[in-house]
Amino acid sequence: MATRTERACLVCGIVRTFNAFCEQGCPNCDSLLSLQNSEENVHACTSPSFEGLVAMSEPEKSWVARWLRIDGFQPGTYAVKVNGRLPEEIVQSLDAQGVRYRPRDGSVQD
Amino acid sequence: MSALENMFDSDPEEDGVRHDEEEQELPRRQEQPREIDRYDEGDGGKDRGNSGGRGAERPRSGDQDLDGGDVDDEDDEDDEDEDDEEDEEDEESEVEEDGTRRRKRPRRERRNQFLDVEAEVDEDEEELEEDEDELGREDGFIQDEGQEGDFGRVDDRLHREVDRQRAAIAEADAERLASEYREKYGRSAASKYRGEMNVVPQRLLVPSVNDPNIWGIRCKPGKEKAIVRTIWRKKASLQYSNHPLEILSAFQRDNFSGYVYVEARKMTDVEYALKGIVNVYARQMILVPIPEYTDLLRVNKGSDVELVPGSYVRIKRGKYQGDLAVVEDLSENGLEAQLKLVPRLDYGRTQEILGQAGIDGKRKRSAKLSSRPAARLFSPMEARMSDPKNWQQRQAKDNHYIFQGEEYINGYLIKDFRIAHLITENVEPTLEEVTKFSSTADDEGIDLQSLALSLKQASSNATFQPGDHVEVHEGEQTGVYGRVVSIDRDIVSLRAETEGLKGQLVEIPSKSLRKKFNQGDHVRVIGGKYKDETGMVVRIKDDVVTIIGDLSMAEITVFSKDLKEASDIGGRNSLGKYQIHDLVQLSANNVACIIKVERDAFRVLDINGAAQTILPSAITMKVDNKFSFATDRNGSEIRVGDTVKETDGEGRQGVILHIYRTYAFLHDRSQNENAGVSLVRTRNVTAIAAKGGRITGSSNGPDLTKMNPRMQIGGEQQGMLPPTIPRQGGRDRTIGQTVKVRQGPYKGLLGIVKDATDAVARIELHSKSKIISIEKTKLGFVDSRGNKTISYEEFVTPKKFLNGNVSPMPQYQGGTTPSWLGGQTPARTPAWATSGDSNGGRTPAWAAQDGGRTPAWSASSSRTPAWNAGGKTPAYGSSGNRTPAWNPGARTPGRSAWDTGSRTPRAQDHAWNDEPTARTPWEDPTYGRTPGAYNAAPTPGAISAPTPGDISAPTPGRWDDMATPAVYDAKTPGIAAATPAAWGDEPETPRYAPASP
Repeated sequence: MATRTERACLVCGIVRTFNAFCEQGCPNCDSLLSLQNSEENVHACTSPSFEGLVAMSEPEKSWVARWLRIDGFQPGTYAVKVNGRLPEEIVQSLDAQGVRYRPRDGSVQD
Repeated sequence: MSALENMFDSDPEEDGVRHDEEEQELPRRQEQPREIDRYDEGDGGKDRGNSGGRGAERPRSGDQDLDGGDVDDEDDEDDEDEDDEEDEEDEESEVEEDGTRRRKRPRRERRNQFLDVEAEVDEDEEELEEDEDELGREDGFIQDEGQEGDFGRVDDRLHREVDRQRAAIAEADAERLASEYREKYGRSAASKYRGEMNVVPQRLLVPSVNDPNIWGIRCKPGKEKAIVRTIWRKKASLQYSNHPLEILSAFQRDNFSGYVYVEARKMTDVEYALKGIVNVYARQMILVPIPEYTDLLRVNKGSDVELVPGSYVRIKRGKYQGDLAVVEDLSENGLEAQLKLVPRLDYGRTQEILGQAGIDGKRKRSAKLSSRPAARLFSPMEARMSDPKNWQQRQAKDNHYIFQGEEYINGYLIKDFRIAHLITENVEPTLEEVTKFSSTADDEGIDLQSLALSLKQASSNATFQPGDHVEVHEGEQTGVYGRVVSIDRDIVSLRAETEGLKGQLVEIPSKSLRKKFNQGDHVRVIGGKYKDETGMVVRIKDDVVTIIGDLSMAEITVFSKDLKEASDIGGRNSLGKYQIHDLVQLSANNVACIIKVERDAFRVLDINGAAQTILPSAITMKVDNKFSFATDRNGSEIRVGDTVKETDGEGRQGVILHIYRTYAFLHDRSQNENAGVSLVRTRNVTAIAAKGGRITGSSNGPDLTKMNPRMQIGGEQQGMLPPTIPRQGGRDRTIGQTVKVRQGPYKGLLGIVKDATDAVARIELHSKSKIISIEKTKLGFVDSRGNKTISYEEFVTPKKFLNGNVSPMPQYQGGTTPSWLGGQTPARTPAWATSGDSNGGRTPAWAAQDGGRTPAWSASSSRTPAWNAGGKTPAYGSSGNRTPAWNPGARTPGRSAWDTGSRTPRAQDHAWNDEPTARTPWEDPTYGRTPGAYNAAPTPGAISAPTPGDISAPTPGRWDDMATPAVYDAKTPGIAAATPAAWGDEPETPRYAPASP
């Protein structure tokens, strides 16, 4: 497994290789981040530093998914904790689209 | 659509046509269902197979299944393929759909009957129907009609429908259509963000009994991620098989090494999922209790220290591994940090060596040589010399260079590092390292604040303790103060003491609190540079508190969080292996006494009298001189622990901590300067009190008579000194001897000495098969010649003394003070007496010493008869013979007291001749220690001390020459023969040897 090139999406936490992000984008948040075919965006919006790997098969039924707030997302491998944060301007553009960015680095507790 | 129309279009073939058309029109649509069909080959296929048969009997239910499946497909195609996996389950659930759908179904059932054979086609048709529905056409009415009508009608209806659809498509707004399609089938673009828009607090998400279970399974540590991925792949590949994995998720956490967790409804599902996966120990499976779910998935920010510019970090690997660095800047995404560190450059030296090695063909050596260079600031000159091509100055006046692609500012390397490669916790920078960063001119010293920050980061929240007085400094409750009652993680409960809230329990996040102190409080510093200092609060400003240290008497400014109320007084007193007041070696000719221990450094007072702050690394070693001694101004002996007073100068007084050469370090608690430690010269002090009440000489030099153990214990009445048992070199002579126990429970038994120490022998008894340990002096040694037993003392005394005519001098020689042992007194006494003038200057000194020494002698000489008491040495018995020889000695003042010759025999009588009872006194510890007393006595010191110094030089030399037994041999009869004058003049042994009988 190409663990070295793996990155986690800062918004949804899905774990994919860098190339996969570039080629296919993020299955959940591409409408927001448009990672597909943009290495720059992939660099900015994904993080190579993450912890806790979750193979999520059935997000709708899984409590784990709900807890991690990935219950609305596609099945896939997710990270529990993603270090790093979205750049400020992207956070703002998300806000404009009505999406509140919730960092997955553990800094927000609720 | 009317029934009439349906009648016209009743050609069954129309259906086929329509089908073709549809295929052409919507090739893309068709693809999806087909795919799904393929996936569905398991259960879905079965269902369809059944549907025909079942259709005849109870067509509704049969079709319901199929239809449900299709509808479901439609929904899920919007999403990724992965969603398909749920189809089967959904199919089952769809059975219980609401009535509206059921009403549609009979229509299809008919068509199914018609097209029963070709399941796939059938599927497509249905697809089409569905599509039509979703394109907004409402034909429920027609469906009803179709239910009643014949096939022709239905077909006709469909046919026309297609036509209409065509028209609709043509009319449709292209854009809208496109978006519609995209929404339905498009991949990435269509996948609208589905994360929740409204934030649900996580506490509402806590698991309940209705949630799936989570099992923890032991696995090989380090393989957790691989296992999770394997499970994921297995799940994907078995998704459409007969036995898909029923698990919901699988995960691992780095904090829970050796476990993977699987979320599922049933344990059997987990077992099935893990079957065949390596490195998983599926037998060790535990069901995680529901309340612990959240702990499994907790995201801890706390473990990461938040880096801010200015904080200290260490580098994990590479050339700078372990090096301290300062964060200059952080990258936007928080993954990289720009660090400032001291470069480790060798300016191409390694390269040179490598090059040379290459020529020499000795490449192997170069590997060793290329160990990393020492850390020191960037040197533009050297860099330029070594590699001018890769050298450039950023701005002419600035100390800013680029060298070999790296940036150097003010001598520091400025480089980006990934935070993952940094150690951010427990950095604990040492003062030594930190000073490297503050050494440049433009820095105004160590930024203690950031240092404190990085030092305190780990325990920033744990500083409150129940009982602490705290004050709220931010938030709504600002100003409230009280005592901490309990602490739950970040929430501190305090009992308010403010007016109005008095007595109430208030819960406040710890970050809003700070400790509250009042002026005059006695506090202890619990963190930071001044850790463990205690003092009194004198000033408070916000959370910065100034205290006066108890010991240092200096003002210390610390954060209130680093303070704690304390009643004791104390300070740090050790660092590493050194403690306060240790004497340490700084250089070959400089030692120093540690007067204060700081966080990372020592304050020392060296033998130049200078107080300085040094790092532990500057200390070579600790000097251990507990037993060193010196003489004071009056020639009295002074030792560590004695209290002395400076005779001139400042008149300081104190307890001696250390004596080093001619210096003494004193400690006086009442002094403030240098923490009470001062340096004095030993010859400038006088002893006031000796440690432990040891007798010290008063102003007139050492009074050795008082040290005389015999005098001390009451002089002659007390009996005689115990014989000193000489230590023998080499193998213990007693080993292997046959001995008889003379005392104790084993008295009378014979045995063989198997092993022996100085005082104790281990004896294998003949009678009992047993080895006992017993003091040697309790043994009688069986003479080699016969059955006579002799005491240990006799045994170890060289034979020639026993049967010779000589005093047991050698015993003394074996002693530790040979120069004294003088023992030679008798030999010398005549010389003294006769040639007193020639020895001029020595005389007084001798007199003084003789006074002390002679008794020792006489003691032994008086003992001598005791040995002879056995009658073994007749020559001795005539101790009277010696009396003349002694008499001259009587002239010495000290002697006269001793030479009451009559005493000698008496002592001999009762002390030594008597058997054990009489001997006991010298088995008494005090006697046993006699040699020790001699050692302890400052005799040598007195000799080497300044006072007798002038004579001490000649004395040993002469004495040594004379110290051979031969001299003593000469003593007894020889003295009578030789003239005293001869003695005084010629001390050579040979001369006298012949004189002995």
